[in-house]
Amino acid sequence: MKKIVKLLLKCILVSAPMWGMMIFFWQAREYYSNEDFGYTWWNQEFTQTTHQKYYKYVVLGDSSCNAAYMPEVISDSMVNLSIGGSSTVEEYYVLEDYLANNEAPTDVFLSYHDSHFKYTEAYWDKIVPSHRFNMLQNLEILYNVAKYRDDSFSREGMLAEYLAAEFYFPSKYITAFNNSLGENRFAKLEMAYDKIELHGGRYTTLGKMEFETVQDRVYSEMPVKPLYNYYFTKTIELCVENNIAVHIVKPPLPDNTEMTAEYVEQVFYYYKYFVDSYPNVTFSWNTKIMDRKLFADEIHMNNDGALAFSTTLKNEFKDIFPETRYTADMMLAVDDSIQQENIAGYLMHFIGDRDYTVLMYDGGNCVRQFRKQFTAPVGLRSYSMKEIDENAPNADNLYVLLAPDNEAIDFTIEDDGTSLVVKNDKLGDNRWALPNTSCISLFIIDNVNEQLVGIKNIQYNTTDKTFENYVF
Amino acid sequence: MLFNSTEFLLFFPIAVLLYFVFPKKIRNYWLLICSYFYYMCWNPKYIVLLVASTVVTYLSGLVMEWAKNSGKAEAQIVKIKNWTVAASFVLNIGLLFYFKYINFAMDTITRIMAKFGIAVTAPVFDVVLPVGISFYIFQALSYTMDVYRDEIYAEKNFFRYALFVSFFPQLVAGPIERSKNLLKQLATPGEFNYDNVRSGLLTMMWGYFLKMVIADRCAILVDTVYNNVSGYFGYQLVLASVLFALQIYCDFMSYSTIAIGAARVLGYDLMENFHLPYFATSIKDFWRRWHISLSSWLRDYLYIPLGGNRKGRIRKYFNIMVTFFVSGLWHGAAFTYIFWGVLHGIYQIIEDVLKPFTDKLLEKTKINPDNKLLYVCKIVVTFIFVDIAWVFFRANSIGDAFTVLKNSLYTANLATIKVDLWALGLDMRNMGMLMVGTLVLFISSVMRANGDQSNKTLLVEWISRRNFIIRYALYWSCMLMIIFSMDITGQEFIYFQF
Repeated sequence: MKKIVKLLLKCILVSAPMWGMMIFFWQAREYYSNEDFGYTWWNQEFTQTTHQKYYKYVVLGDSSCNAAYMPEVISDSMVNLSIGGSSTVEEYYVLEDYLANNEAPTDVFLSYHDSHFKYTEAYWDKIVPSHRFNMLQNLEILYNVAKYRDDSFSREGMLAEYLAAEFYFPSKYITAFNNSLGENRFAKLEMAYDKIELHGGRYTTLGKMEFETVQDRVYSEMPVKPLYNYYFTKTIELCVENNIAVHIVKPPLPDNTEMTAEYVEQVFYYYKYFVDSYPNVTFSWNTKIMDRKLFADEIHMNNDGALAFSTTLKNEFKDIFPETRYTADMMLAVDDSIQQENIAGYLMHFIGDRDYTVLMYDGGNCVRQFRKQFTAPVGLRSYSMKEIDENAPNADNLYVLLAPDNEAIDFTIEDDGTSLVVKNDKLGDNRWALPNTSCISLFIIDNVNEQLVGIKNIQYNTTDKTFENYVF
Repeated sequence: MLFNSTEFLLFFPIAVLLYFVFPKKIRNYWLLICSYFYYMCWNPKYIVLLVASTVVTYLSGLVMEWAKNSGKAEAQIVKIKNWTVAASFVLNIGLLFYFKYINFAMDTITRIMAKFGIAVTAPVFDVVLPVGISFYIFQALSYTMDVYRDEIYAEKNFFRYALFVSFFPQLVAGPIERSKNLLKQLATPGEFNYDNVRSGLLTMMWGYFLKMVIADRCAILVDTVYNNVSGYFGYQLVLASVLFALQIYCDFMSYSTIAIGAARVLGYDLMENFHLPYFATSIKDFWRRWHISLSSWLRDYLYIPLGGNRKGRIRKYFNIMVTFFVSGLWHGAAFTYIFWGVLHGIYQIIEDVLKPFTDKLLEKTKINPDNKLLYVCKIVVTFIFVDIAWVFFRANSIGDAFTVLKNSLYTANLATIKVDLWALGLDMRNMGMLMVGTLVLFISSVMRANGDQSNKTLLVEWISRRNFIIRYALYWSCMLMIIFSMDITGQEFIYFQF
C-alpha cells in the first residue's frame, strides 16, 4: 500500500507542470482566450443572471443573426442572444438558461442561416475555452447526438475529448495559449466585452467590412438534419410553453445569391410547418436579397446591412415595437456605429430620426447638393446658423441638422484663430478644425447623452459636382 | 484509439487500475475485454476479423498438437501438420490480401493488361483497411509456425491465446510479438511491481516525447515539402528527406516505446523493436536494428524456410530479394513501398558482393577496421543510402521520389535561405523545439551506444538516478515540451496504416 501511495505521489509530482497548466487554463482564461470568447462569456453571464430590466424581445440564432439584429435600432427592450457559429442545438440551451433566471419575454425572434441546420461551429470542441454550457447540458447534447447519430457533433472519442475540455486538459487550450504569447488578450477581451454590452449582445467585429465577390452562390436545397430539427422544434415548444410569441425571420443574403424555385419552396414548406402546428408562430422572409455592400461576407451583414435590416424589421413588426423613443443606451450604441461609419450615405441613416444635433460646415458651396443627396432622404432638416446666432463665426457657412420634432442642444461657437470651438456646459470645449479643402464637415452631438460623437468630413468634387462615398 | 489521444489517457489508467484490483484469476479476462474494447473503438465491426484470425490459428495449433499426440505414423503427422499450417496461412493471408491488397492487385492487373492493349475493367472493392491487420495476422501466424516447428506447445486456453493475439499495447502497430515470449508470460498474470510501474510510466513518457516533440514537428515540414515536391529545391528537399528519416524513426519507435512501457506497467516485457538503427554501419546491420520484430519474423518464417544462405549465392540473393519484396509489400499496397523494399534488397546484395573487395581494401591500406573515423564514415554512408530509400517510402508516387532525388542536387540560393527555411511550415519556435528534441534523442542514443546494451531506456534510467532537483527539472522540462507540443499533435502514427 505504501508503495502505491508513493507511486501516486510521484506521478502527481512528475506531472506537476500539467496540473499547473490546467489550473492556469481554468483560472486565467481571459489571459489567453481569443477576443471572440468575450462574446460567449457575456452571453453566458447575461443568460445566467437575473436582470432588473425586463426584456420583451429576445433574439436567438447564429452569427448571421447576431450580425443582423441591432437592438439599439429596434427596441430598448430587445437583447440579441445569438452566438456566432452556433446552431439550433446550442441556442435551445441559451433560451433555457435565460428563462431559468428571467421572466419570459413576450416575443422571441429565431434566425438561422441554413448551414446551421446541418452543422455547428460553437460546440465545445470548436470553442473549448468558452465553457458556455454546463456539464448536464453537454451530456444531454451528447446523448441526443448519439440518439440521432449525428456526425457533425460526434466523432471517435467524443466523450473523452469533452471531459478533457471540461477539466481544462492542456491539449484543448495550448493552441490558444501559444497564440496569446506576446498579445495583451486581457485588454482586448475587456474591450470586446464592453462593446457587446453596449450593443445589447450584438458582436460588432465585422464592422464596416464589405463583401466582394465575382462568384454566385446557388441555393438549391435546404438540408435539415434530424438533430437540428429536434432542437429547433424543442426551442419553439419551450416558447409555446412559456406563452412567448415566436417570429421566425430568415435573414437576407447578398445579391450574388441564386435561389432555385425548389429551394424557396423547401424553405417555406419547412418553416410553415411550425406556423401551422404551434400557436403564435410567424414566419417572415420578405427580404430575401440585399446589396452585397451591406454584407461583410457571404452570410454576415456589416453595420450598414444591420441598420438596413433592423430598420426594415422594425417597420415590419411595428405592432410589437410601438415605441419610437431612443433611450440613452440605444443612443450610445448608435454613437459607436456612427464612430465606425465611413460612408456618408449610411452615416446619415444612422443619424436618421434620432436625437442628434449635427453642426454642418459648408466648405465648398455645396450645401444644396448635400441636402438633396444625403439629408433630405432621411428626413433631416437644416437650419442656417445665421438664424440661430448671426454673430457666430463662419455663420454664413454653418448649418444645424436636426430630425423633425427634435431640438438642438444649447451651444455656442467661438473662433480661436485656428479652428472653431464648440462649447456646452456638459460637452465642455471641443475644437472643430475645418478642412481647407472643398467639403462638408459634420460635428455630431448626441443630445440624449450630451456627448460629442465625432467629426466627419465628406469631400466634394467641384468639377463633377459629386461627393466622395467615403468620409475622412 | 491512438496512444496520443485523450481517450487513451482515460482508458489506460482505468484498465491498469482495475487490472491490479481484480483477483489474479480474472486479470487476463479483464485485459482481453480491454484489448477488444481498444480495438473496437476504431470500428466495432472489424473485431470479427481479429476473432477470425484468433480462432483459425488457435484451432490450427490444437489440431497440430492433437496430431503429434495421436500416435499416428510420422509421415501422417507431418501431412496433417502441413495441411493445417497451410490452411491457417491461406485463411489468414487471404484475409490480409482481401482487406489490404485486393484493389491494388486489381488495379495492377488492369494496368498490365492495358500495356498489352487489352482493356479490362476490374471491379473496385469497397473495403477499408482494418487497423493493425498486418501486425496481428503476422503475430498469429508466428504462433502457428512455432507450434508447427514444435518450438512451443499449443495453447489450450482460448482466452489466454486470444489475449496474446489482441494484447492492446502492441495490437495495432507492434512489436509483432512471439508466442515464446508473450504467450509464456501471459500464463502468469502480472503482479503489481513498483519498479515495473515506475519504469513503465517513464518509458511511456519518453515515447510521448519522441512522438509529440520530434515526430509530429518533423511531419509538418515533411508534409509541406512532399505534398508539393516540384515546388522545392536543393537543401529544402534534402532537409525534408533527412527529417522524414527522423520522423519515421521517432514516430514508429515512440509507438513501440509506449507499447513497451504500457506492457511493463501491467507486468509484461515486450521485445525490443529498435536498436539505434541510424548508428548502423551497413544495410545488413540496419536491418538488425530497424523494426526488429518484423525483420526477425521475415527472417525466421520466410527467408530461412526459403533456404536462407544455405543453397548457394544465387539462391541467397533470390531469397533476399523475395524477403525484401514481401517486406515492402507488407508496409502497404503501393509501388512506392515495393520499390523501397526492393531497393533495400539490392543494397544488401551489392553490399554482399562488395564485401570481399572492401575487406581487401582495408587490409591493403592497413586501416584498422575499428578506426573511429571509419566507423563514423560507415554510419554516414549507411544513413545516406537508407535515407534515399526513405524518399521512395514517403513520396506520393515513384515519379515524385525521382523528382525529389533529382531536385535535391540543385544548390540552394543562399541569399534567400532564411526566408525559404521558414516557408517550410515550421516557425522559429517549433524549429527550436525540434532541435532541442533531436539533441536529447541524440544524447540518449550516444549514451545507449556507449552504455549497457541491455538497458533499453538508458536515458530515463540515468535521469532517475540523479538527485531530486536535477531529476525533476528534467522530468518537468520533458513534460512542458510535451504540453507545448500538444497544439501540433494528434497525427496518427505512421505505422497505423500498415
